[in-house]
This record gives sequence, C-alpha cells and structure tokens, in this order.
Amino acid sequence: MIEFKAVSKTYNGKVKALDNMNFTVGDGELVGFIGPNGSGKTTTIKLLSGILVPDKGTVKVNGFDVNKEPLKAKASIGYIADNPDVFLRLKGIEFLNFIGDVYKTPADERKKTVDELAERFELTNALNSQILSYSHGMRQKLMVIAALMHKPKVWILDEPMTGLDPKSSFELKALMREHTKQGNSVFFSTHVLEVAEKLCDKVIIIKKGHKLYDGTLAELEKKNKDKNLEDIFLELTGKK
Amino acid sequence: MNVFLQLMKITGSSVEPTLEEKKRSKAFGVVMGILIVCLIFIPVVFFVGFMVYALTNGLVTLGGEESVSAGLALMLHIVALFSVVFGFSVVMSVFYFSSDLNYLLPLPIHPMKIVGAKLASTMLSENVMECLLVFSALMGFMIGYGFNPPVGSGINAVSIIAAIVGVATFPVLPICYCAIICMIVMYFSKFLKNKDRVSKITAFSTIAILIVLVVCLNLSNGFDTNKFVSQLINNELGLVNVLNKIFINVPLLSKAMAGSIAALLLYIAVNATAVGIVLLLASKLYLKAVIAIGGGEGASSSKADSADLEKHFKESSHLMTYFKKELKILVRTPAYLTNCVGINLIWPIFIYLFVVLQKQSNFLGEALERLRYGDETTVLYATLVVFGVSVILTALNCLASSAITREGRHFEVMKYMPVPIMTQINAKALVSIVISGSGLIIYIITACALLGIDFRFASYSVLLSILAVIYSTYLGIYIDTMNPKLIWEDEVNALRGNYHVFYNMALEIILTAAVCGAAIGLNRLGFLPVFFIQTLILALAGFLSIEFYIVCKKKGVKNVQKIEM
Repeated sequence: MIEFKAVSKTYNGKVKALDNMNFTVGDGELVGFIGPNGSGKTTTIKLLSGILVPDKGTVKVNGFDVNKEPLKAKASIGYIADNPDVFLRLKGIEFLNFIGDVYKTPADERKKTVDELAERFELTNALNSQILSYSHGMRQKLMVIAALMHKPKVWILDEPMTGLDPKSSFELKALMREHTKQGNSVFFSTHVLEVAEKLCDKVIIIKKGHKLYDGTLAELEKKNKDKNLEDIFLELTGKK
Repeated sequence: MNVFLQLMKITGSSVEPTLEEKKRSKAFGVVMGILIVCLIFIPVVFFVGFMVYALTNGLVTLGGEESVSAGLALMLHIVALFSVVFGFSVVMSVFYFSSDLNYLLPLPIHPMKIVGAKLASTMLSENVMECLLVFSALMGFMIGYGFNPPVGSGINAVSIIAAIVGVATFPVLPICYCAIICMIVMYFSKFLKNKDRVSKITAFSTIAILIVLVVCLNLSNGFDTNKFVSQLINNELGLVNVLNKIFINVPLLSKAMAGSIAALLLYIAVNATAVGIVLLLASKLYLKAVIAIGGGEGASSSKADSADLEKHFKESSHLMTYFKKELKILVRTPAYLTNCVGINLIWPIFIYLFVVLQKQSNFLGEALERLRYGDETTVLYATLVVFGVSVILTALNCLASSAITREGRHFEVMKYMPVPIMTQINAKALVSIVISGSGLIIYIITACALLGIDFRFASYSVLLSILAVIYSTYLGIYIDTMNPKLIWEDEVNALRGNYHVFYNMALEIILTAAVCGAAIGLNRLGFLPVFFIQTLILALAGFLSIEFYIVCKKKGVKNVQKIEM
C-alpha cells in the first residue's frame, strides 16, 4: 500500500518538480507511472524510497511514514533505481549477500531466492565476477534480484525494463504480476506505453509535477473512444 | 580554435565542482581556502624559496658566477621529476580512460586536436602547486642572486621575462614526456589495454622510482652539506648531470634566469618542439591505441559452482557488512588502493631519508639516547611527535576525508537503504581507523623494538596514536559530509578534485600546533611534570574522539540527509 498525500517538492527553492500530488496504490495493484521527460516521475519515486524529503505532504508505504519512520518504511520496499551502476567492484554474489545483510534476510532464504531468480534471469554464471564486467542489462537483472530478495510487500521500480533483453523483460513482467496476485503492490515508471497497456491495472499520468490522470486504462479508453493509448497520452500531455 | 577550446572545456569539466557543490561550499570553502593557503601553501612556498635563496647565496660566495644557478637547477629538477612521476597516471587516465572518449571518438575530430586539448587541460588542472613551487624557486634565486652585486648584475629584464615564462610553462616538458611515453607504450603494448592494470603498474612504478631515487642519492654514510655544495659547484653530482640531459629545459631556464637571452629563446623552442612531437605522435599513434582499449575483464561465462556461491551467504551485522563492502571497494579500486591504502606503506622511505639526512649532526641518535634514559623534555617532544604524526598521516591518506565523496553517483544508495546513516558512517570510520591505525601501530612497535625504547612509553604511544587516529578520522568524515564531491569522471578525479584532504590537513595542523604549544607552555611556564602533561594529551585525544563522533552523529548525519543530487 502506497499513500502519497498533497506532496510538493521544489529543487533549490526554484524548480517546482511536484505540486500538490495525490495518489494511492492499493494492495494487489500494479500501477504504471507515465509522463514525459522532466515531468516529475523520478522525483516521485525518490520521495517514495526516502532519497528525497518532501517540502509538504506525507508519503506512506505499508502504513509507515517514509520521513517519520524511515527505516521501517525502507525495509518494506523493494526499490530499483534508474541507474544500476552500483558498487561495481563487488562481485555479483557479494553484492547480493550485502543486500541480504542490509535487509536482514536469513542466509538460507537468500540462497533460495538467489538460486531461483539468478536461474530465471540467466545470471548464475556471472555471479562470481565483479559487477564492473557486467553489461547494462546484466547489472539491471542483478538489481532486480537484489530488490526482491527480502520479499518486500511494495515494489518501486524506476524504468525497470531499460536494458533488459526480451526474455528477462518477460520474466520481470511475470514476477510483477505474480507479486500483485499475492496481494502486494507494484509501482513502476515507464516510457513504454505498450508495457503499461498490457501490464497495469491502473496508470497515473503526470506532466510538470501535476497529475493528469489516475485510473484504469479501460476507463481512459472508454472516455476516448477510437483512440489508442499513444494518442491519448500525447493529447493529455499536450504533445499533439 | 573554437573546437580546441570546446574540447578543453569538456576534458577539464570532470574536475570542476557542480553548481550544487559550489553553492554548498561557498562560505565554508572561502574560510578553508584561506586556512589552506596560510597553513600549507605559504609555508611550502617559503620553504622552497628559502632553500633556493640559501643555496644561491652560498654558491655566489663560494663558486662565483659560473655555478650560481646550480641551486635553482637542482630545485627545478626535483619539481620536474615529481611532475613526471605523478604525471603518468594522470596522463594515462585523461588520454586513454576518461569517459568523454565515448562521445569524442565517434565525432569527426582529428586526434591531434583531441590530444592537444587533453594535454592543455591536464597541464592546467594538474599544475597549480607546481607553478607555485617554480615561482617560489625563481623568486628565491632572484633575491639570492640579485642582492649580491657585482655578481648579481646578471639579473635584468631577460630574467624577469624568463621568470614569467618559466612559471607559466615549466610543466610543459615533463607532461609532454609522460604523453610521449604513454602514447608509444599504449600503441605497442596489448598488455596495457586495461585501466586497472595500468593504474596498478603506474602506482608500483611510482614507488619503485622513489626507492631508486633514494638509493641513487647514495646517502648510506649520511648527508654531508659541505661535500654536497662542493659537488654542486664542480658539476660532480651524478644524478643532477643525468637530469640535466633529461630535463633540458631546466639548465636553459636557469641560465635564462641569470640573464641569457639565447637560453630563454632555446627554452621556448624546446617546449614548442616537445608539444609538436606530442601532436605529431598523436596523429600517428593515438587513435589506433585508444580504440583498442576494452572496458573491463568481461564477466565469467563458466558455470558458477553452487557450493562456491553458498559460502558467500553468511549473515553479518549492518556495521560488519558495510565495513567489508568498504574494504573490498578500497582494495579493488586501483586509485583508492594507491592513494588511500598504499600511501601508508611509503612512509618508511621518508623515515629512512630523515634518518640519513640527520646522520651528520646525529640529532636522532642523541635524542634517542635521552629518551632511553627518560629525559623529561625529550619524552614530552616524543609524545608530541607521536600525536602529530598519527593525526597528520591519518589526514594525508584521505580515507576519511573522501569517505562520502567515494560514493559518487550512487550516493543515493546511502539514503534508500534501511540502515541508519550513522551506522554507515561508523563503517567508513572503522575502515579508516583499521588501515591508518594498524599501519601506525606497526611503525611504532617496530621503531620502539629496534631503538630499545621502554615498554611503558611504547604502550602509551600506541594508545595515544589510536585515539589520535579516531579523532582525525571522525573530523575528516565530518568535513566530507559538508560538501562531498559526488560527480566525478573516475576515482582518480574523485580524490584529486576533492579538497577535503587539504581542509582536514589545515585543521589538523592548527589543532596539533595548539596541543604542542599548550604542552610545551605547561611544561616550561607551568612547571607541570611531563607524566601529567602526557595524561592530559591522552585525555584530550580521547575527548576529541568522542566530540567528533558526536559531531558526526548530530551534524554529519543531517548533512548527508540534506544532500540532493
């Protein structure tokens, strides 16, 4: 469960990145977050993961206020950043074990998850090498495994498909669906409208820090008959 | 020309602070900048200037006009030698391994222009201190020479022009040498196409060159000042004669400073030729070598053994897991391995130099003798040396003052992990304390054992050293939390572009000077027994350790939380 209530964020006191933003992501919901470049998607995700502090409003994850109970909130999130170039001098397996320690995942559980996910993402053979030697896609897969290792209730993913090969992208989408079916929440940003169209229960469209739409795709298409999602998105964001 | 200037801007941008960093650092940076200039730059500049002045003054009296610039030449050779030794890694990094090459190489730009811009930006960014040293050496010479009429009548307008040209262009030849050697080696060697391998070889070569230099000085029988000056006057110093042939700009600039216009013109011609050779080689060798460079070793494709992977799955506390992570990154990153860890290994070379240089006066031997017999004043001075050396060496290895900076672009990981910021800071501090502290303890114990110093003083020194390392570490980390440099091109730039090591040094010097002044004052004026003062120093080091730990916990954590990238 994610609650984002009346949140505003300004950078350097000048650039307003988010203005009175409200949305919720319920249990069992898979929500796509769509918007043009510079619309405030990454800012929203950084506020959710506790990297940024809002100027106004409250951000809650699984009932924990991200700014008042940050450690509890963060411990219940599986977060994948937009840049997977993290701790490149560690071996893949060392990074996963580090994450296991950070989230206090028992050793046997770590092994089970890593065995399963590394096999699924075809990364097992690379785990003994330094992350520095990985391709962008391999790093992204490693971040996915790391984020899911402690079985978090809420997944927050910033452009998670970037750099993934078709099979891994398919696997990740399948994992996201499985996760929500178990009553958990997934919130992810994307530029690929087809992904949102096929995967999401709900989409949130933003532009310049303001929410333009929050609802199901079916409702959106009902309101805009004879138009595909791309046309609707371009019209909403003023690109057409 | 416009393309060249744009390229220079691009190549030099990685060491510039970002707008956000500039904003954060404004007031603090000004204050610390003044302190650095007053406590580090000015003393170094005065020392170099005075050395050249004293040598020139002596040579004018003893050797006459012929050998008057020998002292200046000696100092310029030292500067040139250090430029080459430390320039290799910088040139290699900027020319062959900087990330801007990914964007520059596909563009239709002649390699001569790329190399020209990289050469110019390397000289501009790397040589502020070098120019200062050359300036002070030239000033020392002009004062030593000019104030000794009639010999000093050689100082004229040419000398002043030579001084201006010398300060501005002295790094040209050493950096060109580095560039020429790097381009030839990279063109013909397949072995050196990996950045990590190059960095490690360069670092170990630097240490090897330092050791060879010390051996070449042939100081095994101690340093004899009279013999040294006589050899300088009669051109009998083998090392200087060899260096005269390598750094031909040095004798030319020295003669130009003594008023020779022909030497000045030749000096300019030599520098221009060196740049010309670099550009010519660039058009022939650069592109082929730089394109052949691979990014990394490539991930292993062999099936990882399940049992091998299983041994990694061991549970550790937050502090220990962060400690192990920090340690692995430090040891596996060549720039950190050499600048933060390996630097702790070179101090014995300087200790050896100090020991042999004072052999003539036997200052150390007499002091040790007094220390063994428990002479109160000597014990006090030895205590202050242990305190000062522990603090300064901890500050010098920049483990603490680059602790947050080293996070770089993945700084945000510190914030989204469910681990208190202070735990992460403590892990960084622990790494610094273990590396700096273990080095110092080994040195202290070895020195005490070899020199026959009593167990009580040795134990006291170890305890004092540990406390000094702890306080210096937390102070260094706190300084780095105030304005870490998080946007950097590569790890070398992370350390070079981060002035916190100087800030830390400046504050440590002030604190150490205050402690030394107070201790000596209490002993001389207050007539307090040395044992009591030793206890006070120990208590102070303990107090400072706790105090800076609290400062990190209260203010350092807030600083980290406030940073937005």
